[in-house]
Amino acid sequence: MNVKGILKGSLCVMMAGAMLCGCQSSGSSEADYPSKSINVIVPFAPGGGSDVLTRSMMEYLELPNDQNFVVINVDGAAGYTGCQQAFNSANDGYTLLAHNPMDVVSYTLGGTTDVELYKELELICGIADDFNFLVTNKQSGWTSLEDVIEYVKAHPGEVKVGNTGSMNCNMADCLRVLDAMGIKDDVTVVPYDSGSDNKVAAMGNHVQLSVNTGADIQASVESGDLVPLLVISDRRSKSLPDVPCTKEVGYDVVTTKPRGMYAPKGTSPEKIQVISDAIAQVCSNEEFQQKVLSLGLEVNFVPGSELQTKIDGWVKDIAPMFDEMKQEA
Amino acid sequence: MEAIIVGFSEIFSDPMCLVLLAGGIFLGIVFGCIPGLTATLGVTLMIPFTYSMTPVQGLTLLIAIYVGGISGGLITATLINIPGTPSSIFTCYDGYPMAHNGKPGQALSIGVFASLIGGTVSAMALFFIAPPLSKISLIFGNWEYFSVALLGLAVVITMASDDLVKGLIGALLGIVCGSIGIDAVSGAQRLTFGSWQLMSGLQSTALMMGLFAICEILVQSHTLGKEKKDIHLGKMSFLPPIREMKGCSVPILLGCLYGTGIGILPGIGQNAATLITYNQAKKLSKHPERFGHGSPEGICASETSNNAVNGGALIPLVTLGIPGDLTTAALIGGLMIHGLQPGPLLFKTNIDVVGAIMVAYFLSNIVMYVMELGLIRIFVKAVNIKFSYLFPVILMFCLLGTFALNNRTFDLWVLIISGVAAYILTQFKVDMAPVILGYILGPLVEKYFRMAMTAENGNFGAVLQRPIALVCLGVAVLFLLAPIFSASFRKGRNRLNMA
Repeated sequence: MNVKGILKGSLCVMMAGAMLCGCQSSGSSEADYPSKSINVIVPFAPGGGSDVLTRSMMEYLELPNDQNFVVINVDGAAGYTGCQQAFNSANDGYTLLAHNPMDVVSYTLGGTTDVELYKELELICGIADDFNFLVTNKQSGWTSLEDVIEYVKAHPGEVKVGNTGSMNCNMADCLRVLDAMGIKDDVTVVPYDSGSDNKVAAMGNHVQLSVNTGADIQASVESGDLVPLLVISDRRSKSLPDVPCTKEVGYDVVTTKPRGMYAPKGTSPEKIQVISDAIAQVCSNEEFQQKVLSLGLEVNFVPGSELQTKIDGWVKDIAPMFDEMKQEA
Repeated sequence: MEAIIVGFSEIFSDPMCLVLLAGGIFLGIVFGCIPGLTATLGVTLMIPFTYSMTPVQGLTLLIAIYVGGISGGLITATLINIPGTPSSIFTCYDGYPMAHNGKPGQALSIGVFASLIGGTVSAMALFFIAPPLSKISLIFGNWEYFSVALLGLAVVITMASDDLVKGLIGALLGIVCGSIGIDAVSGAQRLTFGSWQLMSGLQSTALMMGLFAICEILVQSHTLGKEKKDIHLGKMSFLPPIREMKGCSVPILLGCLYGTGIGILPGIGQNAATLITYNQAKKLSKHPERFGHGSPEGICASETSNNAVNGGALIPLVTLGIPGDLTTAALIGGLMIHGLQPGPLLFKTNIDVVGAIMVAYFLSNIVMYVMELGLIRIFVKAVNIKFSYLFPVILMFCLLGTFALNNRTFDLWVLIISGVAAYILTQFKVDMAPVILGYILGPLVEKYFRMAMTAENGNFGAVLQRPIALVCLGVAVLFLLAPIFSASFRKGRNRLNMA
């Protein structure tokens, strides 16, 4: 009996000791960040565009101490749920968020949250650019912007335009482009849940025009089911170089859709630099660039502060459109 | 046709593929039969591992898990009345009573057989008529989706027919649960009470596992202390008991048709397919009164349709690059990570991959049938463990699986609270099936109706130009009015008899 008691006691001491050792070894200093793997919240389901981009990046990523990212998928409310979860996370550098800055902007401007999340999260860097395209389907027979404008002017109220989501930057850009074309009041905009639904609606001729991302439309453009007319950007896209951009046709709507990496506010600048450098290195890898191109995106590494300035400028352009949308809703 | 031949040679030339196929099915069945670990979770957990495989290997593995998982759900549904995966909820209604009446072997083999039929028929559709069938997913617009969902709601009146008031209470509760979150059309917040956690609505797996698994554990815990009868499997053969399956051809046919059809439509989903098939089968059956009390027809309806959905969902995936449901959406990620663009051109550029997807799906169904029949004996032994040991384990898996699916602690609260709420409701004899119905179909009806109205600037008359939608709406009205007319007809005849 007594022996058993001693055994029990010593076991307890040993286990307590083991736990204490564990605490010590995981206590990290700034210098050897990261000392464990870093959780990256992807605010969409596994298999989606953001998920695939982040996981492709992990293949080439070289962090100090042989560490890597671990993807944590938190889907819901068009990416807001994961975004808010990242915002609430500890700023110790071990939770990051892979998200699209213009979506983050949408949560605040669209009224989902009062917090200005796009300012309250630290933008580490931009990784790749996605673009919104104005596309039509093969049934319409249109091949240029002129065709569209001519038809819509002749048949006001007939044409429908698909969009991905409502009360977001896609919708704002869609409306701004239609406005610039002079046909905003002659068409009906239909908000679809996802880029995929939006694409299907265009292919099935439920909408004749559609504003959708390059990643979503690429395969259907190649097969001839969808015809791209315009890319919303200040430059042409690498994946569809024959499509004119808004800047060259003189429309003042040039918001692209960067894919970025965020950290909770207050994460130390040294840690952010470590991540930013590692991602910059991945982005300079040609194999990675090719892979991203096949996803319908193009690699464009932009340091956090530079991208933040750009986004703050876009927010000013786009905010009035949200007020207009809210009034109509 | 060429794709199929290429697919067979792709899969059989790589022994690794066959290993992954068998392993995937086993894993799928295990995931499927453990409540809380769902087929979708199995697929999403394995996706990262497939990134380092060849596309054919990766997709074979994912499809095998998908097929095994959806079918495996029937095991626990039949043996302990807890659906292993949400799509087998309706198998509980007949599988469990049948097993309880001393025929667990028959109930299981009917279920597994129905899964095989559903899977194989949809595989044939995938093999031979995928391109024309995929056009359906393009023809369907908002009006069509709206009317199909409404038709589903109308059919389900039969479900609530035992006690109409309590059925409607349940359905309304379901609709309320389904409307929580950010409204997709206007961006307005509904029933969120200012909580950001509620913005995305109630996670569907968490809610459904709460309503059925947690609730059932609470109900069965009433009898925990009492002596438990061991389940004896009885005779099991390779083929199901044909004699038991009289009248099952109609539900099987319905299951194949609805399952494949709803699978093709990206906007409806697996759970709606079983729901609609089960109720339709009940309506058309010669013995509707047996549904819910161990009718083999009910098992067939539920299990054929949930497996047929898999094949249906693969049709738009391989032909158009459109995911038919959540799990196939994950498969698209599996294609993209290898630099393959899922879309209409995939047939031309990567016929090997397309063929492999089709063949892997076909083979998975057959391997699933054989493996599941073999495994059933082991599962029956596992179920004979004392419930006081078994339930805590199931509870743990429910929590684990729910968390793993979307990495949120909040979902665990959804699971627990919905479980307790369901337990209270069942004590008042409110059935959970109408709740699920309202939760799944209510938001669909609303969303598509509002999108259709937005697209037509509020003009409901536009529906007149959509023949499919009109037919569905007409049938829905018939279903709704039928009980009233048949009741007054009967009354009229009674009066005649009296005179």
